[in-house]
Amino acid sequence: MVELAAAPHSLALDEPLGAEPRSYWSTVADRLKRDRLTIGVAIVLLLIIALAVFAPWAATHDPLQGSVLRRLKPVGTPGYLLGTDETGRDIWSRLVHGGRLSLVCGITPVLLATMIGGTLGLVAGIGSRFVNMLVMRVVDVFYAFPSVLLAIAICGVIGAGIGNTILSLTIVFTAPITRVTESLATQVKGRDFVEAARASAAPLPAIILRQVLPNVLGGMLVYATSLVSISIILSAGLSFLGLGVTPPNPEWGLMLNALRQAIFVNPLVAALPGVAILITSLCFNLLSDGLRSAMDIKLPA
Amino acid sequence: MSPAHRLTDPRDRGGPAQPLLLVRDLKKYFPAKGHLLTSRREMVQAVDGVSFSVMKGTTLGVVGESGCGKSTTARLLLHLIEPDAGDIVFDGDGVGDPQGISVRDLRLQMQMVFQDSYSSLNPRATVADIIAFGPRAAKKLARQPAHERAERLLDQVGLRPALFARRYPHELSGGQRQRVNIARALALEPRLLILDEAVSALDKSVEAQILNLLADLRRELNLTYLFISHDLNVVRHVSDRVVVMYLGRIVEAGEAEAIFRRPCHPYTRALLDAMPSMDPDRRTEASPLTGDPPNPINPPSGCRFRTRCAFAEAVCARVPPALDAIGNDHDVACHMMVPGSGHSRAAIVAAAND
Amino acid sequence: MARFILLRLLHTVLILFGVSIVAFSLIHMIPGNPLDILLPPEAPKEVVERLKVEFGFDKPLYVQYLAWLGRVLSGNLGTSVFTGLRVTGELLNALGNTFVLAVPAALLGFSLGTTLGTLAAFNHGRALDKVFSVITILGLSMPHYWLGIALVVVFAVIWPVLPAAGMGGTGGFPTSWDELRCLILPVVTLSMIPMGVIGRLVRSTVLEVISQEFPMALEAKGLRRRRVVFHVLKNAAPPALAIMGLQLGYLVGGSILVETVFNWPGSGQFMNLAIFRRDIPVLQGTVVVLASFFVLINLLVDVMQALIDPRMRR
Repeated sequence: MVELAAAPHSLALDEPLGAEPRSYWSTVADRLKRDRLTIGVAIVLLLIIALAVFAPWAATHDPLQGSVLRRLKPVGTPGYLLGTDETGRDIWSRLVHGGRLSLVCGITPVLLATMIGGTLGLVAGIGSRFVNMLVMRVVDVFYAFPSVLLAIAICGVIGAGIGNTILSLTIVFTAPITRVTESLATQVKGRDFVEAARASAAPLPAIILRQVLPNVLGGMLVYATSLVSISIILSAGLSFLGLGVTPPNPEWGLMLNALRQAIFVNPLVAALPGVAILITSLCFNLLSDGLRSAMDIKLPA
Repeated sequence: MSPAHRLTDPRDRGGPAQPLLLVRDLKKYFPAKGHLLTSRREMVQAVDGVSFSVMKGTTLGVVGESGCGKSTTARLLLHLIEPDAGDIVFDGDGVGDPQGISVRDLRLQMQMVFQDSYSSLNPRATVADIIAFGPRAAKKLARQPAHERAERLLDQVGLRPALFARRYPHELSGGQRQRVNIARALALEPRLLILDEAVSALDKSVEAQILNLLADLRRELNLTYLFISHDLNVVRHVSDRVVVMYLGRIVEAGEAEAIFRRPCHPYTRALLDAMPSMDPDRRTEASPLTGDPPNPINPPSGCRFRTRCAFAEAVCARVPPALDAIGNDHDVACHMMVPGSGHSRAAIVAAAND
Repeated sequence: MARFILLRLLHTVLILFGVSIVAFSLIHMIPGNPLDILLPPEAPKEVVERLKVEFGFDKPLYVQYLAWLGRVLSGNLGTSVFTGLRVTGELLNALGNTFVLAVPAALLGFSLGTTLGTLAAFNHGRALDKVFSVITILGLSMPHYWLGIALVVVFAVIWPVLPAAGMGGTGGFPTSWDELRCLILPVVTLSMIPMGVIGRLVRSTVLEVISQEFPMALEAKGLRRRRVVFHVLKNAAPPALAIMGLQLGYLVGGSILVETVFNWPGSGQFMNLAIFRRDIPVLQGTVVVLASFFVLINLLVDVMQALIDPRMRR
């Protein structure tokens, strides 16, 4: 081998760019901090969650206690901030308590579906063509049902209740999450560093966990957040139809249904639960958008 | 140029005379797009019967244009892609043979340095993590000793561990990333390093630094190199022996200087003609390339180069030329070089060579 | 090309098989004996046994499935446990009513969405972009059943110009102004989600196309603004068309909530009633038909996309 007359290779004139190590996630966090809309949305969400968690203290009345004398009082009635519902229960208290149920029914299925669907998607993305085909064909079958239809059909069959609602929605969301994760995993699989990891004789689980997963997590997070916004609407919709949470539990969808009759008497009051659903769902949607923008970093070549 | 190879590696099995890597008739075909349910099976013959050997302590250069199959060959060697046919023998042990060496064990002795690109390093991991991954995952090294090894390697490739160990790939320059690539490949203590276009993406000055680094490492660590590149200048400088590929086949092979001084295959000559050179001794009679680049899906019959060769004749279309020795460690696959092949120029060339 | 369609057809058939299996297993997901739904608990044992044989519940599961599948394929979706009427006829009726809602809603949603999305993209960064983006994202995040209620509140209660519910007339296409009035609120409600989805998609696709160089090149060539917009839209069309097809499928398959709010006798309400009456044959039939419709729309969309976009994958 002929030596080339060039600078000695161990000259530490090489310095990394930037003063301090910045990981990808800390860069994302920085960008998020500068995105005022997303910060605002996050604050609103935290407020909603806090109200739900601390419902017994935030509520002014017992959400289950009603009195026929106080039916359908309008917004602004002294003592009843947002009025009362068709059996005289305080709406503010019911909204706040209902937030618990609605949030749980909204977030839990997405969490469960992400764990199940994420694993399936990773396995399908990294595994052999046979495994991929197997998983994705089954996913296709579930994808063949529009989500509303599937959720209702499952709930219609196994019955109402919180547990069944969560189960039904988990099944509905597992398919799309699997698809998204598989697509992300397949993209990552093609990159050189994954090939290098395979060439290093590392066992497959280590490659999936340490090389593929960290690069897939971001996309999954964005998608899961947007799914939460749909999940909240769907779970409320199920309760609205009588297939989700059962009365007299305060749940936003249930409240919406019950107050339907009230639209001729006190229209504003009837609309309130829907506003709660709208705001929460909107916030999750905007959060998902904000996350996606923050993660879309064009790294220097 | 005889390699000064010291028999100090405990894993050595056959001594200096046994090639570290021997490849026989390696083949890989890819189905062309639209393969499913096609009546005619259209295949891209990416690697079509490639054979070569690499002696211990030497560097074998593999040169050719893009699409000639050199990167595919590299991946076949490591079984990142499964070969359709052929044998790979590492230090006397057949890879995949029950009595030979497993793919896993092969990978512990043979590693690859990738072309520097955005995707060659995990963007979510620190430099130290990247280098330590192999030892931790494949050899079950604990975190502390793995990271210590990573830092030693960083030192060895010229990056100060204190500065670089906790950095992320996007904070490094191209040359720095390539050093990390090299360190990662060395982390598993391989005996043979495949360098797939390892310096192609670098600026010239950085390229020189990296090549010097590679030369030093080869000496210090008793390594053997397989250097793949399309850049003839670089290949000439780093290689002891060279193999020239065209459309999945080897057209010329032999000692580096011999090939560069007296290229015999028309393709090699054309490649060298395209190289700017100041050497007045290098006079050739070769004409420039003619014709269009052929379709890799349906390569020409017989000699694949014939559609661009100024000297192509009928025999070239009928019979694919075999790699024949025409001198001491100089093989060419061309009918012109073999007396009695049926090519009109065969006798002339043979006479000129004697 | 033909190869691609063939593959896709094969794939669709497999999916439909899977769908039928899921629909069939619904009845067996119910806790308890399927027969309990059909009979009162005090029914004498002989009646129970006889019905068991009649419905085939004594045979192994795969035999039951195959028998059911055979009936479905021949158009027999069974008989409603409640009304005694044939499911197929009732369902087709109801499906027709849903189409009366879904198609206008789709058209309205797509055109609104496309307009808003295009306008937003061409005004990228300015206030107009923000306004339109807010509208589209509202369409997505809104519980549309609530919007229905809100619209009823505004247009039927506070300012009574439109009917609050019901389809009016005898079903089928609206044949009078009165029937048309009944259509307005539900269609607007139903169009919100497609508007939101298409609006966002069109905005991002058009933005991508604009950021490429050829629109600038077109303008430099002297083409009028309107023609440039037309060319840009042509390029942005394929993914949007695909999603529009899917949205139509969703509208038909998922109309149940809006139909409940407006008391619209469509397939959604049909299914709703079936659920509450535990009318399993109706439920199964409806699920199979709606899901199959969705699958077929998917197939159509894929084929159309392959026709338009020559770079077909797989």
